Amino acid sequence: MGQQYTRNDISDSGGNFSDPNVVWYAVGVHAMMQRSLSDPASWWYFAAIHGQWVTQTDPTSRSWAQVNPPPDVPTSPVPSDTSLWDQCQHGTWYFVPWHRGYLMALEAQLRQDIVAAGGPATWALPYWNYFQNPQMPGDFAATTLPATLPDGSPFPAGLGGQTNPLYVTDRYGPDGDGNIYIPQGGISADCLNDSTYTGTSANGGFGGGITTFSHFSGLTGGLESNPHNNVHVIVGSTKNNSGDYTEEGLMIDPNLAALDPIFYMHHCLIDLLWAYWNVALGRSNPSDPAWVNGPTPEFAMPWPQSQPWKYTPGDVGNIQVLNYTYDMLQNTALAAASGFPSPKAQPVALAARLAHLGAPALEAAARPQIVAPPRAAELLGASTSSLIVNGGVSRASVKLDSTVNKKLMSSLSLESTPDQPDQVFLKLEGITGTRGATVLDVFVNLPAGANPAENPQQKAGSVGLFGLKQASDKNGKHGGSGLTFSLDITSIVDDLHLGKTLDAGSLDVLLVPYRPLPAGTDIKVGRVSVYRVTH
Amino acid sequence: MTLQRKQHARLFTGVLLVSLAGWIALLTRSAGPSMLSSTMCGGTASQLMESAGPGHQATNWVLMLLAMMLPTLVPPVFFIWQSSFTRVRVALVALFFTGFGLVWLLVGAGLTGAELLARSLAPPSWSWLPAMVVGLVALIWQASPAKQICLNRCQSHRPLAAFGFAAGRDAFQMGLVHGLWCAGSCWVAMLFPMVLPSGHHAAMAAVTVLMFCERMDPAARPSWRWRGFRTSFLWLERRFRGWHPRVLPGRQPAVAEAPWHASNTT
Repeated sequence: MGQQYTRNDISDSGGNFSDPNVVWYAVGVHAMMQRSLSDPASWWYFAAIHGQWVTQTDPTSRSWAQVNPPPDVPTSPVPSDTSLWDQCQHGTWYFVPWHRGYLMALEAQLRQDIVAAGGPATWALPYWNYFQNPQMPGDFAATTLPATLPDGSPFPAGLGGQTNPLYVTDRYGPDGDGNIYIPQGGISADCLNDSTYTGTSANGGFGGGITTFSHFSGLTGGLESNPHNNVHVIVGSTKNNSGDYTEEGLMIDPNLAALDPIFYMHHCLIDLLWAYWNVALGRSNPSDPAWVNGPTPEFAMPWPQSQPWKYTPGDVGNIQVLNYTYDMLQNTALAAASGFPSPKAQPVALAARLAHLGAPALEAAARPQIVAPPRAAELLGASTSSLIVNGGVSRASVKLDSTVNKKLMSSLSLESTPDQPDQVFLKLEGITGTRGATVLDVFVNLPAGANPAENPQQKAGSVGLFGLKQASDKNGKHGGSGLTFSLDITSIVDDLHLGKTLDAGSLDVLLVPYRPLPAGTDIKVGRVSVYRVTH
Repeated sequence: MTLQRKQHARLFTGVLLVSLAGWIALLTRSAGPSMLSSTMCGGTASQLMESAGPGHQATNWVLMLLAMMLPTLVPPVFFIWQSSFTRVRVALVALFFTGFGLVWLLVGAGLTGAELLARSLAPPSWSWLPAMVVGLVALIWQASPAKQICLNRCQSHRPLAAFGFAAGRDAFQMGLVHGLWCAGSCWVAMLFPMVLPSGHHAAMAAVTVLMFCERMDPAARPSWRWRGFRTSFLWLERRFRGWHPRVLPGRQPAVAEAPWHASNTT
């Protein structure tokens, strides 16, 4: 089987480079940054594989030439063959497998450069576990590399005292001041509780909505939405909350994001969450040929001393046959410390829900503990107009269809489906705009005048608008259809049902930006809808 | 298979069956005694004018649309299906097809006129000339930025109204708009089989595959480049070759798969 590598959590020492994995990551990144844009082994080429503003331009996006150094980003020479560029998959069930292959290819290139510089042949990408350490590892915030390491040895490859290749000027953080951390409540690992990889027309599931023949549906999956999108937006952010696109952080734009070395530490954790969902929680990837075979054409990555590696989701779906693992998969204490669900703690949630809805306790205990696969998804209601998100709180009224609502209430009363009451999902459809550096907290039926922060029980979740510009671009991969997210609002609707307010005929949905939006923000939600899913 | 995939597969199967019926009807009509009167079976312009009335040609055109266009309409129809209340789904899809069909009937009239004009202008000994000219235009159009703009718009959609008259209006409008961009994308590819003196059905089949596969590529910046052919080749290759797991360069094939990959509950 060959060498097995282990990806480890970064042990943050506040910027003195005490973690060898980070030290050698800096050495590898430096080596790749020395190469030209046209070299498939260069940092810049790999960033362009994700997305680029070199051969493409956009009047509201910062081009690569406008990136504030460091890093000094080249915009030439453009390779004669750019067919491997602009591959990234978002808003689709191919999101996680494409990014897994992307990380593996980068890791192979970095390892080759690290070994050439005298580093360990066992080196593997580390990951930033922001669930346990919300502050970005200090090594990424230092502007220069130390002359010596904590053990007194010189910084490898003679890089001591040089510009830190892990430092990026255009990385602004939640307060817009360059302090990079994930605010409390800014992210969630709730996606791990989703037992299905892909959902229904109502929800994206863990891995995202089906985009078999085109990018027409584009439902963002739970993992991609939160934490992935939220972290991108929070880390990149904008300088001093500016509304100027030239002051946006690299991480908020898919065509700039992979220039930032923290990008890969973030995606390594996203990949770990997928592996944890499979291995520790025993969840299944799709066996559907449309997913296993991937889209046409196939994904392809440069590979050291080899022809481009072509792969499909089926090739990378099973981590146990790949060449790496994660420390957390061997050490459940790490997962528990990060707040991830354990297999033993898996849902007793259905029984608890049934009891909450009024089922007799004894009867509930005897009932199935697992939510059955969905039988149907049905539109329950929708807003009658689009919603403009401006600086403060935005509110939409979602009108419910009386016929469908009666069926829902019958289910919640445990009449029509005594063992499997309906689930309810809120969808934010067709979100468009040119300024995506925000996370929107979503509340349902928050009482008038109530402080959102004091009513977490009314919070449906949050959505980060990573890639909003590209998704809104009529010549972008989504054809201008925008972003679409779904949030599970079952528990909120259960309470509304028990409070006898579900038959009011409408739901109030509030969108609250996690920080004030700058002037000129043009975010529009095409439709807010609610679906019931029967089991 | 997931619920959504089941629904998609049912819709796709249904669409393919209708498309297949269109193909059978076309083949049947061209094999019959009225062969020369069919726009799909060659003949000179005067023969066509004399023997094939507008009704006959319109019927052929509708069959051609069913056979060639329906497979490309699965994504928008599925979108409407998922976005609407259960009880109005069929009506909204019908309104979408009405809008789409109206556009293509008008475009079909224009293309039929172009076909007749091409045949009337070409000397009998130069029967391949119209096809060569149209084929050249089709290749240029296929590589043009304008084609990419049309393809991009075919992938674009906006959320639909859910209630009442507005829901029907949006579905109809979506059909019109989708039809316009689809016609912009495919007009000359549809004309090409019509002006061929022979081999229409083979050309129609090739164009159908091309139109179906070129929409698998995501929207992209308009530019001059070949589009659709490589994806069509890969798609056909995959249909015949199937999928075989591959491994990282320099590594041995996996011996066994983990149960979460082999068994599926999603």
